[in-house]
Amino acid sequence: MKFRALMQDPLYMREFQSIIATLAKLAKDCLMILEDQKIHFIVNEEHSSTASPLVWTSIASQDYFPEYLCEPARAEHGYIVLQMSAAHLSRSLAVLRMNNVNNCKMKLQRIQFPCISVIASVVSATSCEPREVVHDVPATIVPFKEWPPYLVPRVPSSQLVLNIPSLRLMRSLIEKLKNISPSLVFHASSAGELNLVAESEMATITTRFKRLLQSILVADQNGPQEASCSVDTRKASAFFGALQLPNEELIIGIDPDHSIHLQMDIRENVVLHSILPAVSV
Amino acid sequence: MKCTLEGNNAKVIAKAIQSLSKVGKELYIEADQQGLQLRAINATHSAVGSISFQRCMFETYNLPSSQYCYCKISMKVCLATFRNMKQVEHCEMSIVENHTKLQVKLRCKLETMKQALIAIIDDQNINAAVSKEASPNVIRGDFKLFMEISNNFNTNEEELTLEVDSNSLAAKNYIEGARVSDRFMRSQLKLKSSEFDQYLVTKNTVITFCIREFRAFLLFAETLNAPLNLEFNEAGDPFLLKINKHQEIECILIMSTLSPDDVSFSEDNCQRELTVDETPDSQQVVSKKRKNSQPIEANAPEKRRVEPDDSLMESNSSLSNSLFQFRPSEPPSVEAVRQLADVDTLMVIPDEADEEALMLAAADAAMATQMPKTNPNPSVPSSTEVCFYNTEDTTIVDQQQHLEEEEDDEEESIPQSPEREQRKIRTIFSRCFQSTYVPREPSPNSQVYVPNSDTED
Repeated sequence: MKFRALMQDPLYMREFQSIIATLAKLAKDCLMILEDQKIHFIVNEEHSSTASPLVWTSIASQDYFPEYLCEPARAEHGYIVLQMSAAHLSRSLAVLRMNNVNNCKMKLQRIQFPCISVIASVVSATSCEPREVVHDVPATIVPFKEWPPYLVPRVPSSQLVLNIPSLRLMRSLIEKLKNISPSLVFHASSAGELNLVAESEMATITTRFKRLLQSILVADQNGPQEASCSVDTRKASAFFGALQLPNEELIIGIDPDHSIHLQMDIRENVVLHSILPAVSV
Repeated sequence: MKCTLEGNNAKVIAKAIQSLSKVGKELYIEADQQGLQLRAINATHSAVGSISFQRCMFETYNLPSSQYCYCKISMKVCLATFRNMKQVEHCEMSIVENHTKLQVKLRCKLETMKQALIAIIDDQNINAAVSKEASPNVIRGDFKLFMEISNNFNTNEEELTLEVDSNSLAAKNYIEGARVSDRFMRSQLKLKSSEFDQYLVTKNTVITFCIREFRAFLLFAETLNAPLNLEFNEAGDPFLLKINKHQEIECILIMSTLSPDDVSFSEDNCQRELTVDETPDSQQVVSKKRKNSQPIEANAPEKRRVEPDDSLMESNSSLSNSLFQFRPSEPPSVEAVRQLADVDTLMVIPDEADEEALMLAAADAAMATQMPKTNPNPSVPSSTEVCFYNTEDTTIVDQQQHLEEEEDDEEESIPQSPEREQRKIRTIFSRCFQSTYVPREPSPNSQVYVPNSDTED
């Protein structure tokens, strides 16, 4: 079992750090699934009942890592599945936020116990010599027979998919709606309208987003249609509150009365997903 | 003693007190011919910090006719007195009322006068004897550099290990090869010797010391904007941190270091009582481990070591610390710090019952769950109880709560016995006691569907 990856581009390193920081805000532990061409991170895997939603992210290796090697224990399995503390991983990568990082290596090692060693070569502002910062994040290797609950979730088939251009607006809105109602209704129409409805005993607050672009993939459905789904406001707020990425666009897919799928295309082949399950009002 | 000083210098003294407050709970003040010295010792007696101010920092500096002038005051009070120093223009410190109070007068802007009388707890002084001979390893660097090293580690880290050889330094939060919990994240930072102002390492050394006190002095170095001097020999020998500023302010922090035979290495599998490099968040696990190893430890008390840098030992010793105090009769009570730590062990070992009770208490407080079950010895010796109430430690509060809970449980068991009789009645007339029972209505059981065939009358 071998894994080694090298990052060199400061932009990618900072982005990688903020992806992990996002996950660390959502859960204590995260799952790292290493594949031949991709790295996946999952927090709050399905059926775990926490206040924060299921979030997973997939990173294509060839863009991020000039050097990438993943050799599973058995070639036919195709994966290495590791479980580790998200906070530790985030802390070990915190150094990448600085501008003066030459490169960052990650490798799977066994030092008394298996761990992912994050080795960054940093040039400090006060000196010209590169320093080596090493963090050994302890990881648990998930054996093959325990994989089924940990597989990368499927993207649900949504009836209606809309693009939201301003994430900041929605984040602060949901943060405020959290105090009003425990559940939040997302109501979308193919005319490009998204209504967020929060109801309390005293008031009903509807926020209307208009002229949203409908995703091309699902747009060819016949005639105008509508979809709505009610979700837990706390989960929605946890997702929006945790986001550490600079991206402003979000894709929201609604599977009526089943779930809401949130997708953020960080860049090509680097995607962050989340699923908010429906709640009955 | 009476001394006055100008506002800016008073601010420096306030900063010094802030730094020392992170070391110990009491502040020792000594005034002598050279100047004023402030000292603090930490709870485990593993670190002594001393900051001395030369006479030239003071406007006036009067010593009493008798040369002896030292006292011990509470750090908390002192910290509060020197809190807001922004407005202070002039400061006067004097020992008054027959050597029982320390008076601090702070003259602030707008002719405001703040005056504080701080009770002197004891006429007591600590004195750390440090050998003057040069250490084989001397490292000097800017405070910023050490700041960066310290920032690389988590704030709740307990100890720092420096691995030095002639051309590089590695700062680690673990000891190479030592047993660690498998949830513990190991971090290290490797630096080249050229980053330091002076780097003189004649002896390759691995040395471990507590980081909290180190950070406290680093903070003071930052306010002074001065370089730090590290001097050390080898593991087990004292580690010195020196800060000098224009010959006016001299700081020295003496820390005991972890002796190599105190480290349990991963190779030996024997269940030893103390492990190093446990993360604080895994304390629960550790305390369990401690409990398991209790019998072994009781059988072989000579195996007990004081490991001043260990997180657990710290909580433990802070408890035991209240059992023995410095004696005012022998002012230079701290010699080399390491030796003092050894003295502690000797003092603790004979009193084994107390020690055991303390350890149980610490373990129980950490577990903090199902106390009545886990407490193997409910009748804690009275001496430890005294100790609990004396010290202001959260674990002790927990312990106290547990004791109270236990008492509550006992009280509850008494009124339960009459309740049983009531239950007996209820089983007979159970229907009558249910809230749904309406006496007027006949219950379904007593409904007469068919009258009796033959009546008695």
